[in-house]
Amino acid sequence: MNPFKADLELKKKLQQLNKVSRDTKAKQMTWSKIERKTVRMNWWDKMRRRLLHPIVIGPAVAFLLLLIIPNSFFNENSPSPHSSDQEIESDGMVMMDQGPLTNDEDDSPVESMKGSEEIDDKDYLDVLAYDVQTESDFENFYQFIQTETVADVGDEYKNTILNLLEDLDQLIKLKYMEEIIDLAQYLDPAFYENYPALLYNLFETDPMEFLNGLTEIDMGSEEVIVSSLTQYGKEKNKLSDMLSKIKHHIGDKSLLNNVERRRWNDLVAALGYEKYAGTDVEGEVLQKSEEVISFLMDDFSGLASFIHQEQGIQILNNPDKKSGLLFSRAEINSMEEVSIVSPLGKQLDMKKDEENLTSNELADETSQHLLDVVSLKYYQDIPNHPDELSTIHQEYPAGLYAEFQPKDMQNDHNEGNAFQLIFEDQEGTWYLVGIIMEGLLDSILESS
Amino acid sequence: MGEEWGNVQLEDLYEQYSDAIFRFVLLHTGDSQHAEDITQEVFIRAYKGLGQFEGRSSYKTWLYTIARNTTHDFYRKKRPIAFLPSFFQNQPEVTEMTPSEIAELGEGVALLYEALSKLKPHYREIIVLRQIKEFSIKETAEVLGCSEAKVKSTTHRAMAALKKELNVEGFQHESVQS
Repeated sequence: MNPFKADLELKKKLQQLNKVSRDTKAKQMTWSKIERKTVRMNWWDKMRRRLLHPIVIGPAVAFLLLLIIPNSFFNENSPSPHSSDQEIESDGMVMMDQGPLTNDEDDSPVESMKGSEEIDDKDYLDVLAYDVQTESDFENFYQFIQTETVADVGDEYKNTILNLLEDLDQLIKLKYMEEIIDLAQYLDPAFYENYPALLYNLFETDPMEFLNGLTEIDMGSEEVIVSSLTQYGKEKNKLSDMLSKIKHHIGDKSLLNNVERRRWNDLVAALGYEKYAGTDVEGEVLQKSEEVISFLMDDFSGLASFIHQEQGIQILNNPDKKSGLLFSRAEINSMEEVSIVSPLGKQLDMKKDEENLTSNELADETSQHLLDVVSLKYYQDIPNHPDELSTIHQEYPAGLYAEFQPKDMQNDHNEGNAFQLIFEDQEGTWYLVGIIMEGLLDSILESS
Repeated sequence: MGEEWGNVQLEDLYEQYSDAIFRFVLLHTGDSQHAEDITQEVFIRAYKGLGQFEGRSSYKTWLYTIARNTTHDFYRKKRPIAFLPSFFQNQPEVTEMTPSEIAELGEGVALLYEALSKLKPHYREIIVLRQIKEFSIKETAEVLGCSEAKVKSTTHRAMAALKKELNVEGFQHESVQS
């Protein structure tokens, strides 16, 4: 069955909507009205041009200047002959004393008018701010902001509108998440940096809708958004809340879209990192990781003491558990007698004649050339499996992993050469529960 | 001379595009009288702007841009209800066609119209431009004043929303899959 058939049918039906007939009489009447109006406009246009002709406008301007300049000159340079609170104007009108001149009163009429317009605008926007209560209101508001170039208004107005967006009803936020982000970005292209509270508020409303709503954001801005959100979460001690909210949606099929999936993974990785950055947990896991690596190169059985007593360890080719085998701590311990050269060792074999190196030199060589990047992450897209939903986090929801990447591979972005050590907490101590390293399992099976 | 030229141009534009503009507006308003009024305003605005038209876009996208803005303005002026307290809000829905107009569309298409009218306005306008008027992505972006990437992503979302609405209306089973 052609999957596009339904879409094609729908498009055909939609195009029938374009076939509504138009009353020819009404069409003719509309043209008559247009003609009449444009003729009137022509007449006014001619009149305007005649009135603005230099021969007409020149003397008129000169006359006005004669009226205005001496009057203002007289007012400024001569003391008032009247000592009372009232002042008699040259035309005989009596007006109230305006009080001492202030800076405000020094403003030109244009500036004063502009000021009053701003107040009107503000009032109008304030009215808007209090009346966007229904979906229909929001739709009108959305159109209004975009058609009235409100983006040109000052920071005060931006704040008013952005605060309004934050205060919108939850249901409106849910339905119009994309439009709200669009509006905020329209008003302030860097709103995600400048208004982290709004950003967090939208995320909190529904992480999934929020991430899906970031349609117009480029990758560079996306990094800023992730960073802004995680920093805000850290400041407000909400990282755990954020992680639990986002975990709730992991596994959702709608995340299959590559762009949305990338956003999702980046955010969770950043949240995970921020949650443990600088903590004792990070220190413990990183230190254990380095020790595990030295055992991987030298004494495979030495790994046993790091392995989770109940769960054992899974040696995986990729984060999918189906790709690996489970070994108990005892099984790993029994490998003492078996000579296993892990892919890590093999990589070194190819790079250097390490047989001539002492173990210390080997370790130095390793840290210098091979294991340059050590980072603790909570969750990340699967290397080489961009279209699958199986991730480390899904396989090990309570796990933390340290990722190691060969230095010479960094510039190639060849994630396939990275490997991960996964740890899980058991009564306050972090144990190794998985190693994801392509080829390691084959080495073990060949040797045993 | 310039005015006569302007009038001739306007009449040409009216002959060539007024029906399409009328239908475009009608799909947003659902009221043929309003659609005529807005069409009239569109061509008056076009007349005023004809001297400044620099030809950077086609007449077609220029007129549709005016039509879009005029429609928004028309309903904003006509319906201050959205911005005023709730006691003003008992106004009829904008997108309601008369029974004869709906009958004219045929049952399947009328359901489609109903579903379309329930979409968010910017979803509706992107479907009208891309799917009904068959504007290119570039033309649609010009009319809506947004990027082509935005047109693509919004079209995708708008069509998904329309299908969802159609499923609610029972349209999918009766019309599309038959």
